[in-house]
Amino acid sequence: MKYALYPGCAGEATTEESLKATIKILEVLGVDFEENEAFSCCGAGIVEEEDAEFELALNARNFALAEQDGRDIVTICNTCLMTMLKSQKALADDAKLFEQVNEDLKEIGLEYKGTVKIKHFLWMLRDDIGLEKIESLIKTKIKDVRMAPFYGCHIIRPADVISDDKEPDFISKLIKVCGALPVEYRDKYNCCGFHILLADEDTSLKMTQKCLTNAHEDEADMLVTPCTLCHISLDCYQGRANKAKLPEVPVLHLGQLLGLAMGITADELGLDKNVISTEQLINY
Amino acid sequence: MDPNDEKGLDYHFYKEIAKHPKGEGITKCLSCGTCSSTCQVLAVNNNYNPRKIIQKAVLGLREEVLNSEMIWICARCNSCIEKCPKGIRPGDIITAIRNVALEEGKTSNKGVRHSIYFKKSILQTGKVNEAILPLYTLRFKIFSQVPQAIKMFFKGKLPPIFPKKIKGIKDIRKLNQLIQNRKLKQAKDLNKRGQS
Repeated sequence: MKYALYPGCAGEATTEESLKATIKILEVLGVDFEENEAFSCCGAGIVEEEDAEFELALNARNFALAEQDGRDIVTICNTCLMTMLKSQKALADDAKLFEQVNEDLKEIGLEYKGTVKIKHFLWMLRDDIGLEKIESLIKTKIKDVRMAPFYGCHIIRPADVISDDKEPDFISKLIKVCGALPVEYRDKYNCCGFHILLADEDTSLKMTQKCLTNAHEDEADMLVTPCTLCHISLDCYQGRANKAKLPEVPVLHLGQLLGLAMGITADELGLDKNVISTEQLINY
Repeated sequence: MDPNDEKGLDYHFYKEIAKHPKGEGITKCLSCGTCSSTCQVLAVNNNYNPRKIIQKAVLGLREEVLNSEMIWICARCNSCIEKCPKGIRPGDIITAIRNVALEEGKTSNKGVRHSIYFKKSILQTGKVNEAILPLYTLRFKIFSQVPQAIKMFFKGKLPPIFPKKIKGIKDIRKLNQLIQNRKLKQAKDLNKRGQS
């Protein structure tokens, strides 16, 4: 299977460690992937507030570019995932819209056929790689660490757009395969508050703090997230959110967790870029 | 016809919201409050209440709703969309209210500026400039972010101020032009039909 890697804005800048680790994992897994310099922002469901047609056109253009290369899109940002799936659904449900978007795309020499598949990195691991293959690549098991999955909203909801009912808690399986102990964590499907970080920082950080406090309550030593945006709130802004001065909770991107267990060096996984120190894992 | 009565209520406001594809559900809202009981923002800040916002819109408190910062702090966690017993997607109704606020050209608060900046930035480089977004949104309040910025700087995580343009940025601008031209034409046609 061939993929076009769609990192999202955060993966390319603020949380570059998640992209670095993901690329490393894709290489180890032998996945045929490419980054496309022509991909634009997906609009993040925010552009549609001002101009829904433009957001749709942005996504249709990206889809057409991937189709041109015969690749499916794989992303490490939940919000990119949801926005792309939402656009794809809108185009699939409305023949007139589909036609109109293609008329516009024709002007720039592209065509959207509707064949490209859009996947999250987590889904790619689950459906195209499989737990067995991942397990076979694990070299050093991470022992005695209690890890809680933090999925984030846009890989789960809304169900009519995401429609992914194959395996609701695959990260826990990956945690287990890596040797750590998956924790039953009450906030695993809840919101980190990222999307209102600039609009209302106080409220956003209270949401982040709630997730962190509950991580302590549920005795998780660490959080693992598949989303670059959750990574920003939980890791980069943890210091600002942690008003109660609780002990820090390190946050790993999914690729970093797998990489550590696959024996990839901390450097190659960008662990030095995580704001909350993950040192306890480096020499486990 | 002026829909505003002497109390300043605009009874047609909800229709304006319902005209947007995401706002259609507003005509069917029972105000049961399931959205609020499942809202993850309200759980930490009860000044935000989706049921109240939608109810105010239905009652015709147009200006109050459109100028409120509250319509910009839905975190789009989509919990209400999952749980609404009428299936009317309360979170999407909030988006439709944002649509109306942006059409009105509101720029008075952080949330609306955050939203406006996305398209601006995409037309410039093809992506969202994460260095300028906080500046554009927060204006002089950016100083509150200095400690965080210093922290990020020492981690080597400050996003670039002048990011590279994507390949084919001209195509993005062309798509936008095509869309804006079509919108203008549609508005003109609608006008003509109104006159005849």
